[in-house]
Amino acid sequence: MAVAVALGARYAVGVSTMARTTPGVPSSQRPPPADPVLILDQVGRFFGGTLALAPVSLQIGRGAMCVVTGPNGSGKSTLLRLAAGLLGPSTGTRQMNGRALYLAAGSGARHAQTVAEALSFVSKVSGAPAEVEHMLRLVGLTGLGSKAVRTLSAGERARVTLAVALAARPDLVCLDEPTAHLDRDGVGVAARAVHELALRGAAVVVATHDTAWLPGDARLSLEQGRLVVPA
Amino acid sequence: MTRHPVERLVGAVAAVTAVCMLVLGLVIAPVDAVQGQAQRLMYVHVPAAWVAYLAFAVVLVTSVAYLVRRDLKWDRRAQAAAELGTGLTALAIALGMLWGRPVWGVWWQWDPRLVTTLVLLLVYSGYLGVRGLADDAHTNARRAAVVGIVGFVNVPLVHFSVVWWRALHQPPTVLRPGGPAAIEPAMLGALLTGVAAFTLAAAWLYLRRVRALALQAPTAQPLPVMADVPRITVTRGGPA
Amino acid sequence: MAHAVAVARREVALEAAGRDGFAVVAPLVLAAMVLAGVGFGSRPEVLRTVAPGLVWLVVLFTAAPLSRGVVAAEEDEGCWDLLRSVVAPGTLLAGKLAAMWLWLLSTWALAALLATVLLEASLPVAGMAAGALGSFGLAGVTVVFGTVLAGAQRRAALLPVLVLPAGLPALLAGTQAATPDVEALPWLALLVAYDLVTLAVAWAVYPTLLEE
Repeated sequence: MAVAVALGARYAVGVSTMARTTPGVPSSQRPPPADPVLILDQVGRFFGGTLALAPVSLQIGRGAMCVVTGPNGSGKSTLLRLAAGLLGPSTGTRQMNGRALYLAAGSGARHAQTVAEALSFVSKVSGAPAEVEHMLRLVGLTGLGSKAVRTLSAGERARVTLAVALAARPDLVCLDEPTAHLDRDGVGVAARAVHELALRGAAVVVATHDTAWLPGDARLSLEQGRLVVPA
Repeated sequence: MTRHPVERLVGAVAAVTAVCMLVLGLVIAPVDAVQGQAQRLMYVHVPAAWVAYLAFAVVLVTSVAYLVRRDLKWDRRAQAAAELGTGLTALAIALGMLWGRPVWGVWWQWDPRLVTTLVLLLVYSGYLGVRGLADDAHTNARRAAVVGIVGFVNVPLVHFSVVWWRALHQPPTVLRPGGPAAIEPAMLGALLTGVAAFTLAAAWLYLRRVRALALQAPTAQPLPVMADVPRITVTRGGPA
Repeated sequence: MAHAVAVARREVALEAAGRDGFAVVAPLVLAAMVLAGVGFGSRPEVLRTVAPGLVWLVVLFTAAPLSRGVVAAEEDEGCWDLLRSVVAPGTLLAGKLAAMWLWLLSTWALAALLATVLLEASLPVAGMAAGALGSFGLAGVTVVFGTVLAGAQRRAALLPVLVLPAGLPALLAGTQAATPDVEALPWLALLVAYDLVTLAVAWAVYPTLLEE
């Protein structure tokens, strides 16, 4: 009996979680791409009374790379977290075909874990084969698999974040300032990792101050929570 | 001044019932043979406890309603009910102590209903404490709703376990498994009037509080004109 | 299911490497039992009487520090977003719950052992069953409230206020089941009900708690 009530409650809560909508104009007149991974329809977000992100409609297809730029506090992280589904939208709806992932630089591994443990855990729960050595090679951390994350430098941890993104094999990956602690070599690694992700069919959204390292398929500029339509 | 007719009606009836309760409880009901005048506290203590439990049930219903609907009006209703419930629970405990001291000789007894009421106070306090933690109204509402639901499920369990453990409190005079115990009709009348008065007064306070919370809530942000919403499509090779 | 095991194994591996969960709590348990022996006086019959309740009281109070590992530690080290993204809510709950059960059961076992040695208490079989059952329900409560309060400033103060009332049935039933000359079966049945209800409610509300 309690189980039935719990099931009912879980269904109701789950449904309301998925389909929180506000009525509005139907989305774009232009036919959507054949395989959009992510569809944000008039999605905006408030925190308390402050507007963090003004409503925006965004569709991203498989293998596309989207760069988001803007000054501090312009809403880049908010947009990425909304895209990844970690934040619920205050307005609009989000539709996702597949799994999404959000990673800030240096995150993705517990300090007490070894790099290999962190990567194989992510592979395991993502249902992907664990290719720890291959991942380490891709991000230039060969031989560091057995080191605890605690002992790594900030730059090395940023590379671990990239490896985690690769290990998870998501359909959409949102990287927040992935080059934050990286030297020139590291930035090259980041660019290669992003291209590798896109090659594997993931849609990639990258928030970054420095736009030189990743031209991307589209560049979005944010200013005070509002999207400046790209030229 | 006729803007809130239901509220005013409830308030008026509550006031009348409260006067009746006072008359019945203080004057008409006879003095208890064993406990003396102190027993008259029952007419306030018992209703306070019952309405506190009722408020708790309201917290449960409104919490579930919020989680399903995600409308902050349900959260405001839950908050008002919890505030009311906390106050009434504290009142019930205080009155119970005042009643117990002359009758039992002690301020506190480890018996089921006292323990459960104290636990209820703790759960309510936790509920209200969780409310103020975040800046975002929906985050607070969500956390509070979960605490309200878990707490409500837990309190009967607590009560049940303590009932098994001890049974020192007076047997419930009205809601006993075998039916109402032999209680003077006048006393019963005073008690039931007290319950009615407390329920109505609580309802009046609740309606006023919900209205006050609604006025305090930040007004919904005006959405930008639809034409302003940028639409962007990104595909491999460039924006469409 | 396999993913839930992976989550639980990750918790165990983190504790083995980081030693900031159970390893921190174990000395507290020892200290509590020793201080209780001193504080409650030296009469053995008094100590024997309070022993069952003391064991459960100690377990309840370790729930607060142990709850940090559920979400707060993950957030501090930048892994909570990752877990929410790659692991399904039910799986995450199952893995975290299994690990928390292990920690609380270990705490109970340590406290019970110390009670037997230091306080000359006897531990009937029913008491051991209650240890396993009670710590499970308590684990559910700890995981849920640990997740509710993740990242909140007043977490340290609020967590006991939330967990202790919710853990009262485990305390009461566990103590009674471990007391000699008390009929234990009804108390064990109560613990089973408590566990089922806690599990059902936790499973129903957990997806909501993972939202932001």
